[in-house]
Amino acid sequence: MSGNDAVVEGAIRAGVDCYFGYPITPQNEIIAGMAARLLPLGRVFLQSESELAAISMVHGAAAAGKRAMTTSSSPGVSLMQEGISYLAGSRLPAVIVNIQRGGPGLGNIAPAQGDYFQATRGGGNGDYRTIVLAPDSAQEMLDFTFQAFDLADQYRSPVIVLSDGRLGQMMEPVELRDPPARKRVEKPWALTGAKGRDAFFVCSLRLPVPELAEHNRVLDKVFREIERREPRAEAYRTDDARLVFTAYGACARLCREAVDLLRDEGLKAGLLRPITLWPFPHKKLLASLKKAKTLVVTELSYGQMLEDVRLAVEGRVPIEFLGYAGGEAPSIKELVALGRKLLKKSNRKKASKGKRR
Amino acid sequence: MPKTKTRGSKKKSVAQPPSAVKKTGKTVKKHPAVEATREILLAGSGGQGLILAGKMLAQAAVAEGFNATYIPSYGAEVRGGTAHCHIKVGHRPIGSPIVEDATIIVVMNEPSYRAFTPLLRKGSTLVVNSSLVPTVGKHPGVKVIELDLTEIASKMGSMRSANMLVFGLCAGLLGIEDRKLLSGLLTDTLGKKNPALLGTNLQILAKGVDLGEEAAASK
Amino acid sequence: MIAKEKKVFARSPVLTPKITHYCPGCGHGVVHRLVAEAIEHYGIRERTICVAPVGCSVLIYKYIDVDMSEAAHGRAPAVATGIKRARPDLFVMTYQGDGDLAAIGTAEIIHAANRGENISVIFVNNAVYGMTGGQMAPTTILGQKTTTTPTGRSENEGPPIKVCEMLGTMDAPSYIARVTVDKPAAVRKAKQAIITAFGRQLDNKGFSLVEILSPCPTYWRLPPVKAVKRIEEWMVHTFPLGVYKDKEAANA
Repeated sequence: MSGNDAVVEGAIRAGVDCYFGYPITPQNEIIAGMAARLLPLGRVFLQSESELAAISMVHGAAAAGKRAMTTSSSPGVSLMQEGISYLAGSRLPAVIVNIQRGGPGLGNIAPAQGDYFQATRGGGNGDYRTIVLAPDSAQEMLDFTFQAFDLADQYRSPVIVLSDGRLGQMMEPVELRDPPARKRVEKPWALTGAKGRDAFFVCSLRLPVPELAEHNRVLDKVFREIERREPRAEAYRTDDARLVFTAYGACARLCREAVDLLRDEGLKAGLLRPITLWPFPHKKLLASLKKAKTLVVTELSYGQMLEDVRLAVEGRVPIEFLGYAGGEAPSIKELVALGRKLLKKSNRKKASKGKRR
Repeated sequence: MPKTKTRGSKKKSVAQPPSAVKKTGKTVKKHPAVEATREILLAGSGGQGLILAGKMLAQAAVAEGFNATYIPSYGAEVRGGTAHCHIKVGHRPIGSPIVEDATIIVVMNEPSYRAFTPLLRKGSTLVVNSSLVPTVGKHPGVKVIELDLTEIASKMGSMRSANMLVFGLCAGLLGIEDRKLLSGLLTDTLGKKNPALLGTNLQILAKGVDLGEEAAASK
Repeated sequence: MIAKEKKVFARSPVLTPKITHYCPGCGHGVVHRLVAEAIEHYGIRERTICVAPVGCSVLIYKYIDVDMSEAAHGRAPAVATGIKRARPDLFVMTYQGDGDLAAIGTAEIIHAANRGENISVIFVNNAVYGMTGGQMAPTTILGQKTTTTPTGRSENEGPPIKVCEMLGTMDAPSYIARVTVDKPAAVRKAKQAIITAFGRQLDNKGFSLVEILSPCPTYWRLPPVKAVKRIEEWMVHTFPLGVYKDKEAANA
């Protein structure tokens, strides 16, 4: 099953009620898959006139208390930033899957990870964050899409699944399963018609300064809670690792293979893979560096996650950075060669009792 | 490779690589031909059906208990351009789905031959569709199999089924020899779509496996 | 004996008791009342969702006592689509101004209309941007002075967009009409049009839109009474009143 098909499977299993989307490569299998699966189930599928409209339709369905989602790729997700900001401001749960491609602008349709800033820093106007889940396999495309709905509902916030064209197009075995789910939450705030209660206004608009200031405080409290409770990362063979790779998504897979090959050579390499990009797993990253002499950050951009890594590490370990863009990606050989070079260098230094600053 | 000896090496790494046992509980077959991760690239022109053949090959590998990935090329054009796909098969978790050091390359036309032969390494197998790739250069250390795949399929009743010949041939080369499994997969995939051609397709697939096994055995 | 009083007018219970913030002579107040009365007419207050736009009338939520959703500028028809598709049993309407509907939200309104989306749109056309301070609207009339057309709208900006004429060419919409609120008789006609439009949704007949020509004394730079007169003198020539699409009448 391809990663894109796995997104469809995860959404159906999570009980998505409404899907709205606009075609864009390399995620077209999702919109087609949603049409094929949702319509026979009598659930809502609609191809919108634009990404602006798609995210607004998601807004409407979410305001009505339904599980709503959209999917797109980088340029389309840029258009959706308006709607994502409104969702965040209106505290509406929704799931947005971004199958990233090369940019800026129209770029190309090859895999890339250039939307990290956009996804983790809010992306639209105003002071907000969205939870960002980064799958690295078709299985996780299913699992994380499923779990994104629970997170969205729990925190009343849009949740982004940040993937890329390679994970979307690649096929590998997937277990069709319901991943661990959270308790379904009630939505007493949903618009259902003001029957036997006061009318609701689902909005981000708060013209008086004290009202918006208070609203921002409430949002901030939610974001702090997410930062406390939700950081996720995978530590792979990091316990005794002298060299730790940090990468997410498609890049993390490459590093994991490189780690195995380096270990075959008796070299102590490991991988710390952030699963939530926001909240960034600072503590988990630090914990993986106990024995590390070098940290290698690699991503399909010229240094976006790198900034979060630097903030987390605070200069404790020297950082090597490998950036790629436009659809290029590191080869396994390249990663192994770099790991070998760095590990041997640190071993030599140790042997010659060379002092590190 | 020289082993690094460090003083703190008494403590063993706790994190182990995932075992080769699949979640289905099925034990992975240890087949000598697939000890290391094998990298297969199928390339031709759009419409030759290699994308489908590659997908079925990956599915067959998974059914046999291997890890496998498959990724098609996806371009702006739909028909007529070159189409290729990457398949990786092995015991270990597969990081990159992209072929770097090819185990098998199948080229169905001239542009594909030119584009992908740089990925050949010592010990690779190159399968060339001889009628559409007229001149094959020298590839030292590479096992070159020149077959008129289009013609063979055509003589057996369906020129357009040359992709099933490729599917069988690669399965044979990889040592995925469970013919029941392969023909079952073919029946599931194409049986409904084109029932009239199913018999021919199955024969062509069987022929492909024969050719693959033959080639695997030869030097 | 004194005859029992006959009540001829009452404030609709669908309106909240809030005092209006709109400028003196603004048409929004009248249109709000008509919308509230049409909701009352069908007894659907408890299952109505109104989508508020961006612009002066974003504050409609203060006046009409029904569930409301915000929409980004121009996206009200898309938000309404999301709500209606999610809950077809609810009555869903948008309330939009000319900048919202005919400039930034052109794609959304055209496609909602073209899908025959079963929603009702109240489109208030006052030929100017009010909330942002009197700039040119897509419906600003040729020659009309605004802060961004200081010498009057000309070929430089092109002529105004005629929404009813445009949407009236489509196959899917059920009812498209243009009315005004410049005189009591016109107000009564406007109410009838809104009732007809809402009825189409309740009968599952699909998309309906009522465009209401409405005065903006502040940015027409006129006293309220003169502004109201300008509708007849000046606006209806560009935007003729009437029914532009009526599928039911055509089918009858």
